[in-house]
Amino acid sequence: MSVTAPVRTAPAASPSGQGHVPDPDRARRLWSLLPVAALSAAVGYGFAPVFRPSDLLPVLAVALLTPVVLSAVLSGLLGRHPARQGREGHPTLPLWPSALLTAVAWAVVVSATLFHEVSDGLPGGPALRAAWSALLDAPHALLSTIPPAPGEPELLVLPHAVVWTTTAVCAELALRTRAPLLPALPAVLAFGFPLVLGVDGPGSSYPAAGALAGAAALLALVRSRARLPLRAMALRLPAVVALGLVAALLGPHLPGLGTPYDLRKTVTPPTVRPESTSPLDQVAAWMRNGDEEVFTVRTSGAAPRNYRLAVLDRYDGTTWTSGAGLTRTGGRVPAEKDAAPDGTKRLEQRFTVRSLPGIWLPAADRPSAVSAPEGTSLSVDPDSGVLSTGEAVPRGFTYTATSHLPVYDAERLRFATAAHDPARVDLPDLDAAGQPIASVRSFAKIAERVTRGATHPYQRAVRLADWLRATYRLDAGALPGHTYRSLEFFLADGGRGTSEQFAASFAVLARTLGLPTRVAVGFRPGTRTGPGTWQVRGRDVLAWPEVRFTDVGWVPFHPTPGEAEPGGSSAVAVERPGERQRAQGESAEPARPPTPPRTPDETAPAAGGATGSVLPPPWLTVPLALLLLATAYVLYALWLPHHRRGRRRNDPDVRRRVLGAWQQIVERLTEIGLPATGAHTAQEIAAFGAQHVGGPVGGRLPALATLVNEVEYAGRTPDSAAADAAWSQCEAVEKTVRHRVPRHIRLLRLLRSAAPGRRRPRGARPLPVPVRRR
Amino acid sequence: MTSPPTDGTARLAQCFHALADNVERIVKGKRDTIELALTCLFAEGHLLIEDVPGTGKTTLARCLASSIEADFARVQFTPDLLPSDITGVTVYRQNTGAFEFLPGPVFANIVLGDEINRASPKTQSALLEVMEERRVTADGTTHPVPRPFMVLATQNSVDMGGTYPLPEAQLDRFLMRITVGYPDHASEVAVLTGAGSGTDTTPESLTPVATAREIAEFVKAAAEVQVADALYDYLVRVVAATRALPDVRLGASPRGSVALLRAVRVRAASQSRPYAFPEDVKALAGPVLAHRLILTPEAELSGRTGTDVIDEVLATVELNNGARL
Repeated sequence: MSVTAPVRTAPAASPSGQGHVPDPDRARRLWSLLPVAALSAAVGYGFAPVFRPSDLLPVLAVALLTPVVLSAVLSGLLGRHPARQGREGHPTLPLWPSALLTAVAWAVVVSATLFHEVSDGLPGGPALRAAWSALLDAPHALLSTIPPAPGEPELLVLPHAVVWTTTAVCAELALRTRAPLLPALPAVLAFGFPLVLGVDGPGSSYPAAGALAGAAALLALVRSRARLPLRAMALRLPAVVALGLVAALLGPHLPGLGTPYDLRKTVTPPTVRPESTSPLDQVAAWMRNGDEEVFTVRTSGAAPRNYRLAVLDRYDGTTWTSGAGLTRTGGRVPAEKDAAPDGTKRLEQRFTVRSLPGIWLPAADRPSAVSAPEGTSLSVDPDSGVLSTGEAVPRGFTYTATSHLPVYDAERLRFATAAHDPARVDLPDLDAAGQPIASVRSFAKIAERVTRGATHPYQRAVRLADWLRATYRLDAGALPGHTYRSLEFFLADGGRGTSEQFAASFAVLARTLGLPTRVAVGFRPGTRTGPGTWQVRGRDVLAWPEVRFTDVGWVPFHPTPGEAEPGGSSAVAVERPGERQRAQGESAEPARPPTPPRTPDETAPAAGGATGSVLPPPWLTVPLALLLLATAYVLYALWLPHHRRGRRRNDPDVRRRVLGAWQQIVERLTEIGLPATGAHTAQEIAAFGAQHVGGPVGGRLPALATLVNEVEYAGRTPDSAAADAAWSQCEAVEKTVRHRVPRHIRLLRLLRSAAPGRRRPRGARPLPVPVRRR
Repeated sequence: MTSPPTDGTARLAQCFHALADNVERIVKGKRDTIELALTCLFAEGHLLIEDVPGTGKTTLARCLASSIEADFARVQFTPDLLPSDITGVTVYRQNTGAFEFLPGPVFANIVLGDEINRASPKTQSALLEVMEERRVTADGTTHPVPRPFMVLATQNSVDMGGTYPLPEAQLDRFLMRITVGYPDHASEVAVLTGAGSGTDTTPESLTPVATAREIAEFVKAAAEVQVADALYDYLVRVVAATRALPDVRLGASPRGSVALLRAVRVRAASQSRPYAFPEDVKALAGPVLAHRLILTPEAELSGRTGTDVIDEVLATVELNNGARL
């Protein structure tokens, strides 16, 4: 890296002393601000999985454009006659004023935009303090928020600062250094921010990475010191774009890509523990006040199913409670892990809360997205997907949830195995005194007896649900309670209960069988009051158990009489109604190993809208890899000669520039018949060129050969004009040869020349060597 | 920065071409051969001219000698020639009562050995010491020959009856072996025209254009020509390549490398260049190296010559040793 020292010099004058000579280096530096902006835009684009585009775009526009303009102005390179331009077009303003002004500008802009409410629109201390504090807290806050994060100033300040800083640093490097790719380095480093924060976010980072690669290539192209004609630029630009597109499109499908490391797993989120009363305890109360309106729903899409309010997965023998760790979300609800239903149906719901105690918000099944009025903070339990406001839900609170209701394949469910989830199988079997609890043993006996003959976990669960439905009666006035004792009473003597007892009994019995089970509390779809409009009252409350199966996920069951899904079954919706019985039926044939899970229907994405990396099928992997390799090789073959030529032409050593021009000529002459042996002297090559190229172009070659000999063997250091003349002659030879050799032949040679180990014709040594004197 | 032609280099080039022009007044249409012979002279090497009878071998040697104001001696080699006939003999002076060394014809600046292969090997070997070391040792006393010293030898390449081929050690002492060849049509006509014009066209009619002392200075000036490391490297690889070819039983010796370097320097200087190029090496490798090679019997039977081998070497040895830009 060569940062130019701020040398204060008088304005450069033309050799004739009349006016300014246009400096190509200055123009190149100024033009390189364009790819710098593209680099910063790519970094900003990288934040797409972290924020919604509508929140992100205005912030990025300001953070991108302002530093570019500032750097261009402060560099002193603008204007027709830059008054403060040092040697070779370098900015002569020192770096520190630029850095200082950029920092001040950021403070002013961020105070006046993102934090204008703090300072009433005027930049000032309070706004700046708030911005700085938010900037320090933003990484942790974003890592403890399910992306996309809400577009709050406290969070948006991070991409604002990252993009601003990246743009400023890249722009200064572009204006003050000569290395073609150096200005891309800060952008590549800054890309780490969105890369880390965007893991687990919607969408992929590959397009942004592709854009970054493309912008870097554009930067190298613009900053290349080779004087490229428009035609060469026109050839290179599509190659650059193609490179970015290939990287973006094929990157996610590369075989061998693992799950990206999620830094969120190492961050402890500021979780909101649900301290309110367990919703299961309120089932009886809701049943008693059956006419009370709880909420209304306006739906669109699939037919509504039961609305899940809370999920209780921990049982201590007395109470079912929730182990939810509520994490803030910007609207996305992560998909259930290891769940792959055979299809989904989309359901949009807009809830208006009338009277809903507690912190939970209902939604059909596990929602994939939720949105609430601005200013409302929503939390979600990533494990169960239940929603919460984190505080008491106010009356009239409105929000929208999008769910993808799972549909299961009967055959797959029939042979599904229970998932390995020890925490959801745990059933306390010792009392406070350390004595075994007799109830647990009796529960196990009941479960064994009821499920005898069932060969698969799913069938056992169905047997349990059917048995409860058939054996016990629903009684809205039944006493609440789901302790061991209450359940024992319910199962042994009572015979009546609410869905609370039915669901809790099922869960306990299933856990004795080793089935991971939890209890969900929610509401049935309610009463239809209009097209797509439903009113849910207290009597619609429902508790139901859910069992987790390998590769299927949590599957709800309905052991409560008369409270099942349409169709009267205790099982969940399957793909085709006719298959329901088959899924529930006994296993008449010998048990067989479970069928492997099928991938979800492409047209109906799984709940949660998971859009993770999807590997191509194996038969496509090899052709894709070969295609990728072939594309990369062709791009490399196209790039290599240009790169080599540029390197030779832009060599700071004038002698090497002359020898580079000669080497170019030798390579071109081999295309029209010069044997590529490397044993020819410069004059022999010149003689060949004079004969085969002919004309004035060929006639000047012997003189150039003499110059080459003098450079190489006499230690001559030619002046820059001689090197330029050599390259002019080289261009003339190239042009002549290009006209003589058919395009397809040149292309084939180009492809062959890039092959590993391919020898290039040689005509000169790389370095002028010291001359030995006797 | 390029070194401009030094004064010595420029004067050498001027003298070189004046001599060539002078010789060419008699030896028509053989400029290249004349320049090779002059290269040999300015490198203070010895020249073996080999060709069929009547092509001007001896004339060339005589012209060369006549163009320089220096001691010239001619020895007609015959089978009965004795070594002392060349190097000199020690006689007893009765009047002084002491032995006195009478220098032979070898004590001259330019010695023309005509038909050198007609002398016996013993006599031929008498030249070994003086050609390499520029001195004659007789009766335990060393007598240096004047400088510059050059042996111009001729030999007939077709009429080999009663001749003794030069031993390898002696061949190696010749800087170059050249052939004159038949003149082209125009040159031959010019020879005839000159011969019938009544003017004196004998070599001895030439006016000397340089003195022996000047030639000695030019020999020193030629040694000042610059040679880049890359060129040393190339030259050595060329010579080394002659030792690795399957057709060659004995390749060029390090003496051959040294000889080639001396000749290369002179060629560069003769073109007013204070530095040498690979072109110089390529131009001189054949005359300097070909006669030093001993080919395998199979190669000789197939008609290959040392010149063919050198051409093959020059066509394969790379100049840049595989380095890339």
